[in-house]
Amino acid sequence: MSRVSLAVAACLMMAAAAAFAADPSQMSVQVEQVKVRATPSALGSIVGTLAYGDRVTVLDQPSDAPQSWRKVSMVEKGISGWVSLSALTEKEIKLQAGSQNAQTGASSGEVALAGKGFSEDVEKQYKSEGNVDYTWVDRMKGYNPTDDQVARFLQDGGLNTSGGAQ
Amino acid sequence: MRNCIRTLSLAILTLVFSSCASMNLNVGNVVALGQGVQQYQAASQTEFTPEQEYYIGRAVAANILSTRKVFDNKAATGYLNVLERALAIYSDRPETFGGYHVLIMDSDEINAFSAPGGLILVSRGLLRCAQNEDEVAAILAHETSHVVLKHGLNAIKESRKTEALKNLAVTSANTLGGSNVQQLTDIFKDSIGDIVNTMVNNGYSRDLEFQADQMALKIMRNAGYDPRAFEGMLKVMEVRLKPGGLDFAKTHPDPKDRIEKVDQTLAGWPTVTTPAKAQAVRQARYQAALGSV
Repeated sequence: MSRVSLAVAACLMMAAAAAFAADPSQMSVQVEQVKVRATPSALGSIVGTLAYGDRVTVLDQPSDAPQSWRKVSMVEKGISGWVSLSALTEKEIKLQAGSQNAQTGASSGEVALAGKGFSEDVEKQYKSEGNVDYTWVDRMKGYNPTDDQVARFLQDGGLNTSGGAQ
Repeated sequence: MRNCIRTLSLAILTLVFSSCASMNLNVGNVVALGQGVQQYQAASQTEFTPEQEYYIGRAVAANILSTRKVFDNKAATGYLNVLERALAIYSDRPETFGGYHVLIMDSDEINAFSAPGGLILVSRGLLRCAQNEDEVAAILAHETSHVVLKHGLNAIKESRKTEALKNLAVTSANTLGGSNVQQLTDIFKDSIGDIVNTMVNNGYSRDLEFQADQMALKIMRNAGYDPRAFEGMLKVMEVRLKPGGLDFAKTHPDPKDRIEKVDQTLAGWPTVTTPAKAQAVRQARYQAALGSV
């Protein structure tokens, strides 16, 4: 194996990595979890749930579809439907083995490792060092209205029920 | 044969470099790619991820709530959270890492804080500036806009942000050992300090507040609320703010200036007429939830 051959092999690997990273038809979920909808609407019926780091294929969508939504599929979970673009990133988020609440350590790169950065570890250390009380912050998360509650609220109040699908 | 391989290598390298140019990478990154994905991504982080924003926001909210009492009223808080979700889905950022959540601070001061990621704290005093649901929507839409526009994150000093992102990237590329956690925690603590100090003491710049007002009008319109309610709420606030106060009197532009800018925008917008039945429903649920706030 000559040095030239090694150089060629290395170049091929880099080219493949660059091509993979730039693939515009793949996106990742960048929020803790997100509902996949049957229609491009925050109130559309739910067809499944995706989790942080899930890699999805972006499907062709009608030209009149809202720009703030993407039609996606994830074969491994058998899910296909619409997701708000704000829940997606073009970066690939790699979960760390053994990481339950995955964290990403990079942002603008095409590949981001999860499990590092400002994370539960840092929060735990931060809590141990000061007089900061997270009790109410944790309780706030319990206020999580359902789709039905929000839809009824909008409907009864004569508000917009499109769910952002305009 | 050797020439052929050299030519092929040159072509592939050209392809790689042109690909990387389109991804805003530099030669250093390409070399790093050969050393592993970790190094590659370590060299390229320029902003906080939604997850990092989430942990920053939790700490900011926890800090603020550590020195303030919470108005623990399930009906009022539940109502605000449904209203918040109804607004957020019509914003430019309906999904954040942990979602939008609202809590009421048990205080007469006219104040509110939007922690990064969507944790919104609003005082009883501010809620009393609203006389109906549309005006409460104006308050929440303004706070939501601070989250959408990432004003909290931008309050971190630039030098600290650079240091934080550099450290986050490096520790992402390596095992996060105890010393890394300590180093990150120190930077984290300072970053939280920057944000809390801005929110509580200095306030955002006038321009950022006006930006949030303008975006709030759009969110209200998209959701179906009357954006003119924003002006109604500011007029009450104008009367109630006390000069020298440590709340919005200190951290926000004079309501008069805000009203002037809001009026300029609304002048070009059609009038919204809410059907009487819908108006009655909104008023009834507003009274039931916030009538005694």
